[in-house]
Formats: sequence, C-alpha cells, structure tokens
Amino acid sequence: MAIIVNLDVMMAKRKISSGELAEKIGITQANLSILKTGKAKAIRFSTLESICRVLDCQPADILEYREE
Amino acid sequence: MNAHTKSARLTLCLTFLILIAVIAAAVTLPWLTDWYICKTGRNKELRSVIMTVCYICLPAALAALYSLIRLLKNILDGEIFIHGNVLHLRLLSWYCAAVALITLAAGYFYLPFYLVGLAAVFFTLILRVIKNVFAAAIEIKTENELTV
Repeated sequence: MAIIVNLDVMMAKRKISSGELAEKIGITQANLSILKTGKAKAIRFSTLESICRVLDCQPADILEYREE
Repeated sequence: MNAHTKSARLTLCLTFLILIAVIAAAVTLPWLTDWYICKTGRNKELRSVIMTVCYICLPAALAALYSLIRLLKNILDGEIFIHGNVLHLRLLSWYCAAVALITLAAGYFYLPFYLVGLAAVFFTLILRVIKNVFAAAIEIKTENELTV
C-alpha cells in the first residue's frame, strides 16, 4: 500500500506503550496492532483524532504517502 | 434458537430428505421409468433415454446436494461470508450448468427435458448472482474488519 503508517515511530518518540495508547484512544490492542503493522484498510477520523490528541502530533506525523 | 438458525436447520433437514429421495429414485429408476412409460403409454425406446439422462445427471445432483449441505453447515456455524461458501456456490452453479447442458441436449429425444434444462439454466444464473454477492460481501466485511 502506498500509505505508510508511522505510528510506531511516533510512539517511540512519545515513549508510550501499545497497551497504554490503545487504552487512551479507546481501541483494542489487536486493532492498534493492525494499524501499526500496516494491515489496516482504513482509519476513522475519530481514531485519528484520538491518536493525534494523545500523541500530541499531526495526522501527517502518522500517515505518509510513498509512491510504489 | 433464533429464526435464522431455525430456517437454516429446516433447509438442512429438507436437503437431507431430498438426498435420500434422490438415492431412492436412483436405485428404483428402472421400475420408475417402466411405470412412467406404462402410465403415459409412450414408446418403450424412451426408457433408455430417460434412464441414461437421469444416471448421467446423478453424480452432478449428488455433488450439488453435498455442496449445499456443506454450505448450510457453514451458515449454521456462523461462518457465512467466507471464501469456502463462495466456492460451494460456484460449484453448485457448475453442477446446475452441467445438468442444464445434458438435459437440453436430451430435449432433442424427449421434449420435456427442455423444461428441466431451462429451469437448470435459470438456477445456474441465480446461483452465479448469489456467488457474486457473497464475494462482494466478503470484500466489504474484510474492509470493515480492517477499519480501525
């Protein structure tokens, strides 16, 4: 997929674990894993908003477009 | 047990009954054919045509019933939109198409076979549409499951 999810990079910068982030944004760890591994087909605006709020970042810090 | 499960169980029971009926008809086909020819007063040569066509269609009918039973069991197990069910529906449509081909060809010797052939063609088309709907539903379900 041409959209790359850099969530793990952002999580490392903010020194936050998967479990903690999942709990704070209100999704399951399994869903967070789907997002982190790039298996996700789509992301809800509400989820993106929660991630940005918790990690104090912009959507562009998490999502990146790379030509295949 | 909800209405959906009850309906699927009823369909499964009816499928088993039809399977038994098909096997019984296959075993007693020579007598059934004799009785039919005697009752309708038709040419005795028709006996071999009817028997040949029925026995050629028998494997397809049995395989179709087997696929239907597997499909219904998957539905009862809650596995509805899976690739296995699409395969079963595809196989069912091919078995119907095979029966359609055989009976349409046999219609040359005995006209009522044309009716069976046309019904089989119609069933084939319906099954192909349902198969395509299932395939599209699996895609939507996968996308929905992978939306975070």
